[in-house]
Amino acid sequence: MNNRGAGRLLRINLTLGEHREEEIAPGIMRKFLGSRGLNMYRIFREIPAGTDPMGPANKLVFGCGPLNGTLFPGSRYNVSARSPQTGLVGDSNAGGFFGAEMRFAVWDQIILEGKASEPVYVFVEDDRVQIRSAEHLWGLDTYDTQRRIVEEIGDPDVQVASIGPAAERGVRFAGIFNNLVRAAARTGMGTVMGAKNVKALAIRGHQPVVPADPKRFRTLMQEVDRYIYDHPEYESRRLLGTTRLLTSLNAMGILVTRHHTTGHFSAAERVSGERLAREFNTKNRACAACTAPCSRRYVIPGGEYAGLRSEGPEFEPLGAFTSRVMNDDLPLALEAIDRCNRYGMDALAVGEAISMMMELNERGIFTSEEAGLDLTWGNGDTILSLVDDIASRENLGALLSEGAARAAAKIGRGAEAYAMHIKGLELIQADPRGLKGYGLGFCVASRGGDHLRAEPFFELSEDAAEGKRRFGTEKAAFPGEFEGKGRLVRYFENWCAVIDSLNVCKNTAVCMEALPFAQAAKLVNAVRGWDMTADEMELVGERIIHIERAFCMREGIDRSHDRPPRRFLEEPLPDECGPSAGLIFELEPMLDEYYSARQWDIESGWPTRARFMALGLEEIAADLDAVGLNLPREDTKTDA
Amino acid sequence: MDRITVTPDRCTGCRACEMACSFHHTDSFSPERSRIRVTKDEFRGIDVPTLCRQCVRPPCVKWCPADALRQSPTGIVEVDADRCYGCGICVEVCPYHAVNMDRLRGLPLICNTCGGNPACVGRCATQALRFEHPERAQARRRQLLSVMRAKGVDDDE
Repeated sequence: MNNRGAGRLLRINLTLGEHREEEIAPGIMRKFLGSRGLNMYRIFREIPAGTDPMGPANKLVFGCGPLNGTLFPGSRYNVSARSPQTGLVGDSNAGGFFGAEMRFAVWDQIILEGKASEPVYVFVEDDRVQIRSAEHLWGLDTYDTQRRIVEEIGDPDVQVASIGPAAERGVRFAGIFNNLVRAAARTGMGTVMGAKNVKALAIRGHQPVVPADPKRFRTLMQEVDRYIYDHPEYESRRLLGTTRLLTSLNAMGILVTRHHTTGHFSAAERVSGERLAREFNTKNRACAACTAPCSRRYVIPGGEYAGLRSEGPEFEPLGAFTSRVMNDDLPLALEAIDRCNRYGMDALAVGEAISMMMELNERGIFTSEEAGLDLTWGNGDTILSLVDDIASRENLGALLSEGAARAAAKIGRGAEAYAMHIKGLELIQADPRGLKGYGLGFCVASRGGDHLRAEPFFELSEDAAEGKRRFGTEKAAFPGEFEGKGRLVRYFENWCAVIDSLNVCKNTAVCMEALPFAQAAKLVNAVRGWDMTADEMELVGERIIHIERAFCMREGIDRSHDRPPRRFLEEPLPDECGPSAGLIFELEPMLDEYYSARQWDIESGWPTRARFMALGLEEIAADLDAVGLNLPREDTKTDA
Repeated sequence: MDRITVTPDRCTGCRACEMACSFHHTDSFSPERSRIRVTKDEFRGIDVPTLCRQCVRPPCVKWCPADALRQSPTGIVEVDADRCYGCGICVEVCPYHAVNMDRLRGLPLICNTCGGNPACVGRCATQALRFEHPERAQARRRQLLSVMRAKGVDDDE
């Protein structure tokens, strides 16, 4: 029965051209739910420390979860491996229809192992697996690859997750793209796929998903739908999607501008989500079964980029190519983002690389003369030519295609201080100094400097009483305060881990609070026939965080790595940043509070042996013992 | 008589209608068992839901060799499961490609508006699907066209 009891794993060995089906034990399914949770278990158990991320020993794991292929809004899938960017947890997810189709094909996980001797794509239709030549597709961009494979298979409902030319050439931050611009873009999962000579994974399923208790599921879904429609942010999310953040973060003085040197962009109105909606958007589009459609189709009617049409963008790429690089030309930003999507690259990493070079030029560390192109802030020609050069790894692009951290290290001369990354992953477009819960989330995230592991949106609520009740201090509800943020991040990390495992969208489930632990447990029970409680659901999240931490520990991570670039600790946000002016990032007290909320050892930032045992992760602790890690024994004083 | 009307430029392509339809009729989620199907072109951003148009002279009824299809006075094409032998001629002759075969049951999937309270319409987030008198949809289309002409907007996408 689809989506009940034991899970089904499809293991494809590309080197041998073979595949086999394996069962995932019911106990493991319940402990890790699916998607991100199962993937994390898988990569921890199967990818030893130090495995070459671009070598055949790395494994690329696709996963879907219990709510995929149902009416729950916003179906997603996770793809995981050891990251070529961070060397740590590589994991990214994307919406669209791929996750649901994987469920209809009755696969909980698909693992790509080894390396094909020549370019291939893999087509899975229910139990049938074909490894097909992709010689004719190699070099095509992500849009054309998806289109050609759909045409070739001759079935418009086939879902294709593909890489673009950037991944083929070994750009470290290449992503995997489906449904045109839905991107599993962070941590270089496309790079891993390219290194395996795999151009795409195409999937088609014909099996129904039969919930254990359809009547109950129907009732629960009516509650969820009503809740989402009645949400006060519904209209703004439908109209603007995440691009609504550009204006609001700018008003807070934390919109990353001029490469993190300020949080205020004076031209924000010209590149805002509001302008995009007013002048370019044509209609809303949505991921599977979504009631809050936040994606927007756009077309540029006139000017230099007349006729450019695509979908999106989200706030992060928009900020990366506007305020971050000081570009006030919205159509140019859309062109740059569209190129990133076609080449198949993480637009955030590209935006960081370009803005870093512009700051290095301003500081005289690496000048325009040396680069052979004009690195003045906001230069549109430079932005576009660097996007092209990074994707093709030519000229300066060859250096930048390694990611900001590696590029800065190669440049030397103190450039390292200006690479805005944590653990090798480039930071997003919200400044941690004025959004401290998010900032702490970046520091401790298992995949590096990224907000989607924690997404502690509650700190924007300004609901003091609720902050006191849930996180022990009124300050937890205010973005510029640091107290209470350790407990806040602990809670939201657990929650995000669960949502990523179900696997649905954090915009609705977390940021609109549509799926608290209790509701998630009820829905999963109605689908799978289990009897999970809210507490057991939260425990799943905590277990996933621990297994990810264990993966990172095995690669040498401890407290000393959980820190942002020095700038945030030393340079206050300037006066123009309004409510956030003068703020710096209080790292150490927040880390203390976080580790202690997690009952981890405060000195090392490692979970104690007792934590692993309490979470039913004995085998993980044993694996850590086997590689000679000395887990802290004593529980630290609890603060949770 | 009210019918399910479609406004494709409001459709987000989310396919919730397919899920709601199959869930209502089969207690399972399966786009392939849905009586409404969304045809999507991701590259041009086009999404078109397709379902039985309740033709006045329905070819499916006319050509059914088993005499298994009947049109009710309200326009709904009803399938007699005892007579149908699953030949699929109705699938082939439907000029709108709105009839599909349920592979599990071997019966054609033809919208019956869930008895006047269609599940797909209930779950459509953007009112791309409505249950209304067809003349209301026609009036809306006329109005939209006149607004677009007044603004000088081309039908671009």
